[in-house]
Amino acid sequence: MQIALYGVTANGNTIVELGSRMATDDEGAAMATPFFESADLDMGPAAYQARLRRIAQSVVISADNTVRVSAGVDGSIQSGSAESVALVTTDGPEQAIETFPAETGTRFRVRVEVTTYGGGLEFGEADLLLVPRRSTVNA
Amino acid sequence: MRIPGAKTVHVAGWGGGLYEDAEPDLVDPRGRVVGTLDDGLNLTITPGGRLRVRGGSEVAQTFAAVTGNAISDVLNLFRFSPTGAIAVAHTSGGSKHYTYALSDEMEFALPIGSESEAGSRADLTWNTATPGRPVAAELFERLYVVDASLTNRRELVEIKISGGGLGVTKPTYDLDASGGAPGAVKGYTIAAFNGVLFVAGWQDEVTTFEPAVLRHSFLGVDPVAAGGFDADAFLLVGAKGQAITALAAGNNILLVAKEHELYRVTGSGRGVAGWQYPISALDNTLGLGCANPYALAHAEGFWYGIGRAGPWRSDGRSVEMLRRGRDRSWGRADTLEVATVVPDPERHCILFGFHETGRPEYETAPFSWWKWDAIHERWDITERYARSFHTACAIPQGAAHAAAGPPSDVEQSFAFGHGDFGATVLTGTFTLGDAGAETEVWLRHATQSDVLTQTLAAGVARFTISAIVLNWEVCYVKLRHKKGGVWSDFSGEIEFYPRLHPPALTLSRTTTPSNTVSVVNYAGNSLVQHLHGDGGAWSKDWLDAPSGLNTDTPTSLGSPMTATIEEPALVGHEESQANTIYLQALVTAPAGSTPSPPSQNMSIDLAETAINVLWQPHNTVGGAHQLQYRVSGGGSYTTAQSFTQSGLATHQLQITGLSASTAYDVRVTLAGATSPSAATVMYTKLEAPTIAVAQGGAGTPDVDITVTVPASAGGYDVRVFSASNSSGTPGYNQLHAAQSAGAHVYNSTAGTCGVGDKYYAAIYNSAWPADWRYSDLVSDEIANPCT
Repeated sequence: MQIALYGVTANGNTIVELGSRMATDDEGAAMATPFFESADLDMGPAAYQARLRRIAQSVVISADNTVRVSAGVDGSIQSGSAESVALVTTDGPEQAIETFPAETGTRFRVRVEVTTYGGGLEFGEADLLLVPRRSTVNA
Repeated sequence: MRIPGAKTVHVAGWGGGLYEDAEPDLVDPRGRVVGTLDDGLNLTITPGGRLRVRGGSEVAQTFAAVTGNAISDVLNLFRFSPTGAIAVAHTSGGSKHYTYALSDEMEFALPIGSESEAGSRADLTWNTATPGRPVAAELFERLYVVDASLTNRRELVEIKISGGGLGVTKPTYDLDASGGAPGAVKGYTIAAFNGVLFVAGWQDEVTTFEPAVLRHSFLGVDPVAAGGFDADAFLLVGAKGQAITALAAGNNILLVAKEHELYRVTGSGRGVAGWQYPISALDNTLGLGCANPYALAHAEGFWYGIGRAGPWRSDGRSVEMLRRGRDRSWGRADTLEVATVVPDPERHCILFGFHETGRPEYETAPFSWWKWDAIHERWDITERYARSFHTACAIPQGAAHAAAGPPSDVEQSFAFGHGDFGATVLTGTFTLGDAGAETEVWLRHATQSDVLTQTLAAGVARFTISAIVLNWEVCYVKLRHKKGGVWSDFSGEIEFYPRLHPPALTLSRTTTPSNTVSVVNYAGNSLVQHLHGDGGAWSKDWLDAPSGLNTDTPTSLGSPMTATIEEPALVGHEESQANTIYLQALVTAPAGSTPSPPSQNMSIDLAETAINVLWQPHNTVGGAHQLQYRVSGGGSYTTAQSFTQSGLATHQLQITGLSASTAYDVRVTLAGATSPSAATVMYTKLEAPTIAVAQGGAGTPDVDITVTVPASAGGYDVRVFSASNSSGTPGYNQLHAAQSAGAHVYNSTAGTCGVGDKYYAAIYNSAWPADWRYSDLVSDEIANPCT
């Protein structure tokens, strides 16, 4: 038994089903770019400088999609090391995205944007490889 | 390589919820197992701990203009037991509010059996150019609607099924015992609780606006009747000047909200005059009230509300602020008068709808939906749609959302001969287990893993796999339905066979032995096949032939010699087209002789602008040879290339720069010979048409199929067929003969209203070799064949 959620439009004459699993867009137009940004992660001690060498993100797809993976360092998303990855079903339903941002800082986060959504996209477990730097932030 | 001191932070999934501006140690996934998020949009956390892109949105109902006045707002939607739902809409141009009876799937619901927009619509009798703010409660299959406007408040109306349509009644009462004219109720908000109606913000027909007054109807009396409300059945809640802003019943409590306070009303009441219900204030309510009637709901065992201090929840005794972890976002929420709280029982979450500052493209209504995960009791990722909504409502539907059953086992289709399958193209048909479900087509090569090749639209029962099929490998295909995000079981895995290409054939003539015949089977072939070579006095069968080179050294050959391949499992299409070489009759001198004709190399797919040619040299005659061609049937020949004999192996030549969909005469000339070789008719690939389908006339299935025949294929036939049933002969299946170049519109009445369909088209020419009589298929889908 399904319990559908319907929105009533402001300045409009329609009732719109929301969160429909049968739709991959919003009334025929691409939905606002889905993304997530993790909370800050670090090596443990405060102000311990490290390099984010690798991000591995598992995904499950049932349609072709494109995602963009960026690293965040000390509160700032690093667009220079961001990578776009095309996920195609011909590579199988369960895949892993691997990027190597090589960004240095003390706190790190991961931002993943679904730049092209074709349907059926789920994000699973992830790994961040942090390599310590010998110098401190102020050295 | 192990890096000293390196640390791998393993996140077991980003299912830890949203917590803005958190310190790393607070959300360290080592401690919390799952990753916490700082921000996000349009994703949702699954029960399994993954992040999934939220479902999309699609229009479920569009309200037409009424007497020329467009509907300008849909103000609210309410669950309504008799039909499924009631909507209230407003037309500013017509200064009217209308109510619509809708089904659980937002279709017009009345009159039963001949449902229509007009039959489902009623005038709410709120005749104002500005929209109201309807709030409603259902009691005994009747919906009571009040207006939560702060000024010019509109009267309470009762909506019920009456005479096959919607009946709207505006009851009036004489509650001041003056004996004067009765007046209508002008409540601000309303709720049904333990068999009676509670109306807030209204005293009586004289004092129509009394913000802190709460009234209840008379137990056991129709609220619309003159005695439906007792004059003394009211209560002043809290400070007189502070309005009751929202009511919501649940868990045997009616929660009464003011802007900064919460109260609970309990008890079952009695059918006697006067106020019947105990009332008490909740603990810890300062600042935690409700901003408006839409901003309170009961679900999952709690009341959820939005007040000036942010979102909160209550169990009916104490109140808990939910703003923690969302302080940053709270700074963007504005215009709390339009905020709304909507439980989503399907996903077990509570949606807090806000209008946010800084986004002028949105109407002044909620468009940013904070999502509270009621199971894990934490914030999920915010959702934002392309437009603003006054509010939303969850409507239970009567049907299960999973597919009714899996699709049948698939069958490989040969209905259109070689038009259905090629070396890299497979076609299958099946019977739908649920006409409303999408179908996933999975393919496994003999040596590889399963791959999802495509997802078919609901209603489509025929598919073509191309591009990822490997040449000459047995494939395995299975299907499953997908509906409402739920997958059915897989159908059985069925073997599919690609079309058998002729093997490559070459001949090398020497003196000892005199001939070497080479027949090359497909590389990577997984089929168990029989390879045949035949050349008059010579014939050879290689059973279970290995892939790659197979040779024989016959001492005698006849002309022509051929090679074919056979696979018994491909019933009806066991044997490939032949690859042919004409042996050279010419031996020593050209005078009085004629070169043998060339043949088209069938082991290479036809191309649109080139032809691959086989030609067998002779033993001793040198001199200039020319490969010539013309469009079949007449005209002068063009020399494609000149060549001399170089060795005695079969020449493989190519003619380029040709036109698609065209037959050519091809011959070989030799200087000094009496005449050129006989001409062989060879073919370029048929160029595919384009296709577009659209709804035709109203009513029953009516689809216009526009097929554009390319200039190169003008005058050829066009095959058009539908894909909505599993029959070998589809519901629509026509061979339109001799179609000129350009667009042709064909009409189909096949299909079922409300069920999608797909149409295929291809150019057809029976003169072409059997394996290439169809062009590539093109297709287009239609979501509904009926207007």
